[in-house]
Amino acid sequence: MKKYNTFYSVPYVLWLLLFVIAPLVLIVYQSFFNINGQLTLSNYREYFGSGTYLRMTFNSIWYAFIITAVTLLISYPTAYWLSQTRHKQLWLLLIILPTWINLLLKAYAFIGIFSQAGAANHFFEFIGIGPQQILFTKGSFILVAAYIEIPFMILPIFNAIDELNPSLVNASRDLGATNWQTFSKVIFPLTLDGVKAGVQAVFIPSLSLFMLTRLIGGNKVITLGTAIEEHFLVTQNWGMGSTIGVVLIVAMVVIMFATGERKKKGGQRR
Amino acid sequence: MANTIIKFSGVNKRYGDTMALKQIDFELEQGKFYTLLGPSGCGKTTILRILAGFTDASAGTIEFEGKKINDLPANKRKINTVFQDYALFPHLNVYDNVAFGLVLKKTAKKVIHEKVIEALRLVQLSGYEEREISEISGGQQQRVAIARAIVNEPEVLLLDEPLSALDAKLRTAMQVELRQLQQRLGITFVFVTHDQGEALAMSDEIFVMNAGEILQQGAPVDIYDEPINHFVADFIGESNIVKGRMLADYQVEILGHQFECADAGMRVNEPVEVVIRPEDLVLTTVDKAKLTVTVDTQVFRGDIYEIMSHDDAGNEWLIHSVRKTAVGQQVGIYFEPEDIHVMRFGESEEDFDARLESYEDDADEKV
Ligand SMILES: Nc1ncnc2c1ncn2[C@@H]1O[C@H](COP(=O)(O)OP(=O)(O)O)[C@@H](O)[C@H]1O
Ligand SMILES: [Mg+2]
Repeated sequence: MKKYNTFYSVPYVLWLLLFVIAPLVLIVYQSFFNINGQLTLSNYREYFGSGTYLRMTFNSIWYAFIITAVTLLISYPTAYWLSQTRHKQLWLLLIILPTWINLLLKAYAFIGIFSQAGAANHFFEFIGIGPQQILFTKGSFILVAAYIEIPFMILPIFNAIDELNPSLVNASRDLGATNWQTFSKVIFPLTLDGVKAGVQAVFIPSLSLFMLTRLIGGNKVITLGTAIEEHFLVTQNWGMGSTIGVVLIVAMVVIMFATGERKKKGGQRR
Repeated sequence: MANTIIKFSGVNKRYGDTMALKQIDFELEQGKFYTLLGPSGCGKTTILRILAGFTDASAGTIEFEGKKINDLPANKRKINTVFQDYALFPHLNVYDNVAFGLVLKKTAKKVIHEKVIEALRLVQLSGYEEREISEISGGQQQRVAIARAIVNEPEVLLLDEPLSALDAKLRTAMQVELRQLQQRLGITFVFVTHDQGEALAMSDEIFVMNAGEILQQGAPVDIYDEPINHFVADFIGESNIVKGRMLADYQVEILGHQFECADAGMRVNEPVEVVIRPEDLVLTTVDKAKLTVTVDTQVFRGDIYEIMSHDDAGNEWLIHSVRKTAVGQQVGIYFEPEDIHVMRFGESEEDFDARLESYEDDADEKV
């Protein structure tokens, strides 16, 4: 019995070694070499010593935070509404559907919509505001990033709300809670795990967005993702690129632990 | 009724095509223990949900202390519920669960503390304040659910099959505790169960329900002794039900024999059903018997023998006897006229009560 179990895990372990462990080791290894192939710590020194990289780090975190906040604000009410509707599986499918379409395709679609002669500007002209510069602004970057991330936020929150025992809501009302009190004291605390999962699923990838920063943001927003791409493809400074990668990975691990489930020991005290 | 607290008039509830409740009318008095008894799916929970305000009646009015409350939201009603699945908040510990309602009312911390401790003492859970809900047993959870409800001092407490998840021993103990608690608090309990023994043991008044209707309402003894129809007779305890014919007042024919009985007020030759409870049947010799049966099985139950038998016409007879007999033997059974209860087909509860009253008055006059 035991033997078979290990046998079935072979593909997974192989996958893990080839595509997770090996690249990680390579990135860490690379980060200790400068552009001339010498073993050194200078990449790290430069990263933490220069204002440019620190500003980029701050930018990445700041925009990831805004994108996550916008996504959460839209997703929680949507997920709640979804859980109350009659054909929730159908609605859910409609929300998941866009995630099956390639990111680049969606980006190009938005370029079409936001461009000078695009649908958005036609609409602005129609209501009398006149054409605006929409593409290549921070606003459009946040909007499109949020659009892309929303399904990943809705899904875990929806699942958490859907699993919530409806008699808990009745119990809360029964004990005298208003709708708002029921939400803040029962529904939200009990769906917090879904929110955390959603924040993880959105915040971490948002840290290293780079396609959108260029195509939609017009490089008005420079994040660590952009920097990594530049180092690998343009300046060919793989060492520096890897260093930024290591920093990002460490940040992600920290966030995962911060938002991860913690086993509650005993009751929290008043 | 002097202190009616709740009144349902013409209440019905429709879910799509199904009528969960058809024409429910009843009044509940302050301070009594009521039980809704009926098989699963008969609409018991629906009545509680309408009372608590979780769902609206499709038609009819619900009154609380003389005021219509159809549109009053659940959080404004002086009614609390003990849910079938307890519905304890899993993110709060025992203390915070019980304190939930009081905290919402912005009660002073010190008062909350006193009341929570007292409520937990009442349900015998002192010392469990800091436990998480996942750390206590089903029976303890059920008691937390009761404490969480009564700490708010409601006028009416609704309990939806709260004992169904407990094992037999704890269940009997909790039945006694709940009954005592109700008497101590002096508030109205509306208790839901599908267990007739539980209903008989605990209630001041029972409503027997089936398929969205209340079939009969009355004190446990009345319902047990004078069930209105086949369904009630069968549901409330074990019974022998056979077809018969009313020959005259106080005379009924069963299986070709004429017997004296205690019922009257029916048409001559009216076809009826006759109920005799197994504990009212006494084993005797064939020559003294009112009916003769052949014993099929005999099971010793500790206090009695449970004897299954059949007569020549093929009717089954269940007998509870303190004396034993032998399988395959022909035995006589004997019963008194009062042990026979005659039921008419399709008689409404109103007509039933009126008929009983008419000849019970007669009987009183004769004495
Ligand atoms: N939310 C609902 N939607 C549709 N039908 C329901 C709903 N709740 C209850 N019912 C139906 O109403 C009837 C009565 O249900 P219920 O009051 O829960 O019965 P009980 O508590 O006596 O078992 C059942 O036939 C049930 O299927
Ligand atoms: Mg029920």
